[in-house]
Amino acid sequence: MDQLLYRVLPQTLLLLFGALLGIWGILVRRADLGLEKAAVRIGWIGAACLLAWLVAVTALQRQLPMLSPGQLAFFLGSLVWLGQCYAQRHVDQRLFAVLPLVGVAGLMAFGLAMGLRPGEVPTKSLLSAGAAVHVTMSLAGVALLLGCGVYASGHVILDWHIRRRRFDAWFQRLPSLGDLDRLRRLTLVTGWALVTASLLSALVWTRVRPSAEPTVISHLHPMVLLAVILAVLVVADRQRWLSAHRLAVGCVVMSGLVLALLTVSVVEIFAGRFA
Amino acid sequence: MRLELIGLNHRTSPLEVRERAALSPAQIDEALHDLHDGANLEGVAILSTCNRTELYVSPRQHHEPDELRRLYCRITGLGEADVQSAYLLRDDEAMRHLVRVAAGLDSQLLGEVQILGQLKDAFTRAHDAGATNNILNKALLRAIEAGKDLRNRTGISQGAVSVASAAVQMAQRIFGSLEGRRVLLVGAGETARLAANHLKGVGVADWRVANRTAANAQVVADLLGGRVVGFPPAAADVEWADLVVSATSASEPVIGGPETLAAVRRRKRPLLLLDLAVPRDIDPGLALAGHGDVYLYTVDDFDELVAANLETREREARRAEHLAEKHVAEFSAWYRENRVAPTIQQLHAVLEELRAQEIRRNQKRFRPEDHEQLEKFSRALIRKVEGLIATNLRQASLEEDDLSMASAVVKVMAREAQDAEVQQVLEKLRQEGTH
Repeated sequence: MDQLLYRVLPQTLLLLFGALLGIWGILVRRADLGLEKAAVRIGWIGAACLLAWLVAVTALQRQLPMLSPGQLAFFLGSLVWLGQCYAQRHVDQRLFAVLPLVGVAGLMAFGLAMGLRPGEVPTKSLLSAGAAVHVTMSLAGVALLLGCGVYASGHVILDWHIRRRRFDAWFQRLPSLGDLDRLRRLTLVTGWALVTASLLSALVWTRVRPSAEPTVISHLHPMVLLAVILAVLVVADRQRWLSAHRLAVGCVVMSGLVLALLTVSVVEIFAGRFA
Repeated sequence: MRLELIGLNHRTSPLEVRERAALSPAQIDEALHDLHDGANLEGVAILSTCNRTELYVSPRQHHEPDELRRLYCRITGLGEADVQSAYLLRDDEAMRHLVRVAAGLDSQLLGEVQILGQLKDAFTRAHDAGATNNILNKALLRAIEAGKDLRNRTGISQGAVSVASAAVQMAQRIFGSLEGRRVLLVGAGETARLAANHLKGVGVADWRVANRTAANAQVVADLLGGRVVGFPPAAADVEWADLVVSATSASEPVIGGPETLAAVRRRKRPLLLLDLAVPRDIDPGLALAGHGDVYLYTVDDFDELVAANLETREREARRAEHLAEKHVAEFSAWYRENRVAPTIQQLHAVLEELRAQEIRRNQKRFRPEDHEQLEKFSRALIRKVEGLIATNLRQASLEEDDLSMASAVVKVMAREAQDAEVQQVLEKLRQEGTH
């Protein structure tokens, strides 16, 4: 079972998503409705397989796949794809799947390279239910915010093409500015809600299991900062303080910050300083 | 294969000849009736559009080129000199042409979609008149399917190729769906109406119309289901709209000025300004105002977009040609397999008759409760034998182009050598063999 869940199935999933990336790569260069429908179907099958893998691994190790950097990367990849499936249900144009797929395939490959077996669990804290809630919500929020960055990048690129009269493949193939804006808003608000909930859960968790570890504090401050930045972006969006284009630029910057925070947090947690 | 085509199109004939060759629906019905009575024709279909008039026939024996030209002259009323430039194609070449026509690859405007509807009409008309045989039915249906498939699988029909549709494409690039969007139409001339029709076609329902002559504005507003506002449009009307389409003949900009500028600045939603007029109707300064979500496009920009779309279609056409070959090959394979269909029907009839006779003769040797089993067993046995022979006949016809085995089966299964049905099947096989 170990072999199946930590090697065979993840490798198969990487192959599946690699193939899917190849198909969408072809579709970016040429239109093919039949192939596009097949790719959408494979994408949903991939999402179902990822969910099955998450359930099976969680049952096996009695914790979500977050016990090693490899597992975290794979878990985040899964959430990125599930988030993509969720967001794309709200838009007809489905071609904007390449960037998330690059992220999913990259995270999966990284996870496999780092090894998915938990090995020696770095800390007992990661085995608690509080950790599961906090990490899951946090990663789901991060996945959506990264998706938000992708849609915002699409918005910036298309806006640039429209303003400069560049009628090339980007102009033809990207979803409309309206759709990208809708997806950006959806992922931003949902991501903000999840990050805020994750932060609250962390506060409850640290109250239940008090820790004076500097890592907890150093992890907490940037998370609070992120939640504040997100809240400002959400309010700016709702109150229309900024144009859609400027909001998109803000979201691209925000998703870069999220990625940096995530990297720092993972390094800190698995560098062994987390109590 | 028994498929032939003769036709004139925009490449082979001047407009004056094409006009004379064009047939009205009533003339097509008459021609179908007239031709289908001909001794050598099993199926006929006529496709007549503004750019082409084509006659598709499925003959018993292939026509000589002059015979086909005479048929074409008969239905179109053209002289023989006019049809010297006509294209005459048969079998795979005819099918290839039909698929290309269906996909819009042979159209003057590459990838245009109207031709597919026109081909469907041609098929329905011929079929309803009882003028088609199974070969023409299959060829036309296959071509229609190919037309859809090639459009779905390539970009030959994608992108706008007229200024009005390019304006709609641009609006869709910005807003996505245009349902629920508010449009201010400035002008009531032909360009404005054309653009409005395209926008209405994609779901725009909320209109305000401004025109120098209020009566003309009212006519357009009634057509669109909108309301008339003053001319030039007030700042409040521009602020209200998501999309402004302007196409007047005014010599000075009609949309601009400090109030409109302030109104655009107040807006907090994207605004698309489509200036289809020359000289321009919209002050270019508006594009720099507002919230950063104001997009202004002029006629020159749309010309560029149309050129880019046509270039994309031409690139996609090369892929489409490749895919078209697959449809031609599949039709050809179907045809070759289908040549032995009458033989298989004959085989089935004979075997079924023999089976029924033997059952009747021997039924009393079995207990009544076993009769059903006997029936099932005998049917299964016949089905096996028939399936085996049919597979080999089809294979010989498809892969080796050999109909001798089919002829042998017909002769072997004949109860009487002079049986009319048997002679008919053998005659068909002989005809197929000579094609």
